Amino acid sequence: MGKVTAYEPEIIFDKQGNPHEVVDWDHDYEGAKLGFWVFLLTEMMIFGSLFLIYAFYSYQHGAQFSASSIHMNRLLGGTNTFILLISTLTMGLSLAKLRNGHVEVCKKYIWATIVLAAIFLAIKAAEWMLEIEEGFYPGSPSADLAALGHGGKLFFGLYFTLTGLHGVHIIVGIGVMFWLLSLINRGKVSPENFVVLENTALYWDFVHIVWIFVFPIFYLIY
Amino acid sequence: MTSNSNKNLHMIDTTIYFKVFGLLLILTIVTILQPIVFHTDLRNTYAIQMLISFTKVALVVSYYMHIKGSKPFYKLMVFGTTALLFSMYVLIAIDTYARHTNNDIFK
Repeated sequence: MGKVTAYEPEIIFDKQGNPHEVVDWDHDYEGAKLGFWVFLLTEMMIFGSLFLIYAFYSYQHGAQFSASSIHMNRLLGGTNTFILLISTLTMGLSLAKLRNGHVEVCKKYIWATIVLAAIFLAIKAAEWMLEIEEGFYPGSPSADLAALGHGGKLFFGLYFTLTGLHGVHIIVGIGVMFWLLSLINRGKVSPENFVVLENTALYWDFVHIVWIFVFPIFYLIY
Repeated sequence: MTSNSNKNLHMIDTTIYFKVFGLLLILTIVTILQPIVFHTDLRNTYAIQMLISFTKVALVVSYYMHIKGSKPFYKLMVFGTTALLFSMYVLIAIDTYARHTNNDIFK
């Protein structure tokens, strides 16, 4: 017969030092927040490494990187920059509204963020299609790409890698926001228990930060 | 016992979100206008663009991600990781600069 051990509750303490028992996965506010920050910092390392590769090759093929940037669609890229900027505001406001007890307004802001994220993806897809049609993609037999030399191939390889990985993060973000809406509808996320929304907002801010660097290094170095 | 440890946090004033948004909007417009209005060589373009980008990131991290009002531990974690990443950039930059030149110690 196995050894029977006494039940030992996991205890956390609030800012006033009062003990609370952790009875569900999202009840440890500090733990959830700390864990999510660690996740974001690993994400920072992933994107940081890609930016490092970009910096290395940009130093070696500066002129070709600059010549490649001329072929980028600044209208679509710029539009997406403003869309992501507005979506960061709506995401932040959703957290503020929930914290202030306005649950329905919070949900509207989350919906607004989802719509803006979907528009961003649609524009990015259209932009990719235009670039592929023009022959600016890794492995393309296009003479225009060949004219840009080795640096041009590296530029567009990095462009598709970085914007592709960023796009995957946008898709994941949309999925998380739908899950978040269902949690709010079921009362699992509320003005008293909002750490999931807070972490989603942190994630969305990180997605915005990545774009803050992606936009100038690909679109504005012509 | 309540299930949430964060019940007693203060109400959030949304004014700061709009103020930061206004600043980010201005900086984004400056980002787009820089190559048109002040066209310069690649090195200077990178320098200006990165200066604007880091300013924008500082605003997002401080106010939208609430690091400004967070516990010192979170600040240390974020700045520590940034410093680690930056040190990688410096090491690679030194190597990139020195490789295949008279400064190359492996030559």
